[in-house]
Amino acid sequence: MLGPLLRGASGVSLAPPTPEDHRLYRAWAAQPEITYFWGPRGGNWTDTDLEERYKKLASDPNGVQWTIQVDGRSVGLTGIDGIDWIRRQGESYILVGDLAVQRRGVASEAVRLRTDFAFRELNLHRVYNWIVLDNIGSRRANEKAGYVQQGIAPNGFRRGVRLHDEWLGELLRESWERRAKG
Amino acid sequence: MRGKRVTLRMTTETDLADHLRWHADPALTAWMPERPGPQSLDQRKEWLTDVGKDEMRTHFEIAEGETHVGYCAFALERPRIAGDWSIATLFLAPAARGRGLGTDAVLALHRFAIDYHGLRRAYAWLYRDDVAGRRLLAALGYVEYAHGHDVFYREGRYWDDWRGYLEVSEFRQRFPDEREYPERGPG
Repeated sequence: MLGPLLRGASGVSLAPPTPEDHRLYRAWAAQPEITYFWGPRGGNWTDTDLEERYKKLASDPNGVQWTIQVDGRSVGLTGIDGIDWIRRQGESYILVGDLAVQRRGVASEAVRLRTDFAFRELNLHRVYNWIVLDNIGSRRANEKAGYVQQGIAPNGFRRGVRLHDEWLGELLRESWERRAKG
Repeated sequence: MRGKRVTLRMTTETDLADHLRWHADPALTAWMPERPGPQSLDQRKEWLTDVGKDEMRTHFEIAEGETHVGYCAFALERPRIAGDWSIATLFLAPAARGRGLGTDAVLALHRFAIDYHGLRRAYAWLYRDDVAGRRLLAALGYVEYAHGHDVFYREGRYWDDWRGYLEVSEFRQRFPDEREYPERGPG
């Protein structure tokens, strides 16, 4: 499903992705600087395939996807995938594709908005993720929102000549509630 | 794949009735992280077709002699590192439990993944309270790398998980004789 508009601080918002937003990923995925810590770069990126994938995302009842916007401009994507409605949990992800807005707190605000939505509106019990340990920006953005380490898979991710550890994070509803109450 | 006491073999349609009977009883699937539920025979046939097409997963039935006693599978991990794999599932019928058949089946599964496919690091995911499962994996050389909280839900409560991995070097050291093929030279 497509996530609703969530307005945050400093001009950051999460918005339901349009087909045009979805096509931006093709350009982001092609750049090794952007996807160094991300998943596969290959894939079928024809217009037809993207259109089909967009339809699937929009109709997937077990996932929520947003476009990250800064002052109305689409700069990345985030969401929660593989939601199990009995266990009430899902796996979160984020990619800031526009290098010009990196290191400005955009990811932190996007993760905060997404996390609040997960507990406040989706009524989830737990959100978890796998982040490459050396992806400090993404890890810190999640830690700021309350995610804590559940473990580390040593040398679980390869890029080029390097093996990187993977950080497994999780945030339980009760921890989020405690933080929300201050 | 021959174990000492069990054989891992391909699934046939005649096995599906056993799957349906096993999966209909939640007490039998309680400790499975990816818990199967009751299905119709047509649904299970569709599952078999899908499994046959899935290049990331290899599914075996476990047989003790002629008796079908369970199933297991391994899956290639998402393309983070070529050579990583995981135990995707393991199920034993009640009469086969507590007799060491699970260990025998899992050893054969590892031999297949390591000696035939040439895979390296294995991952496993269990309920933290799955004492038998954790004992089995510890004997193989698995070590814990993560503890997730409130991961599973059944019987009105949440349960924690246990994640572990096994390096192929550790497996080789512990089980030097678990070889699918004898070493041979030319000729």
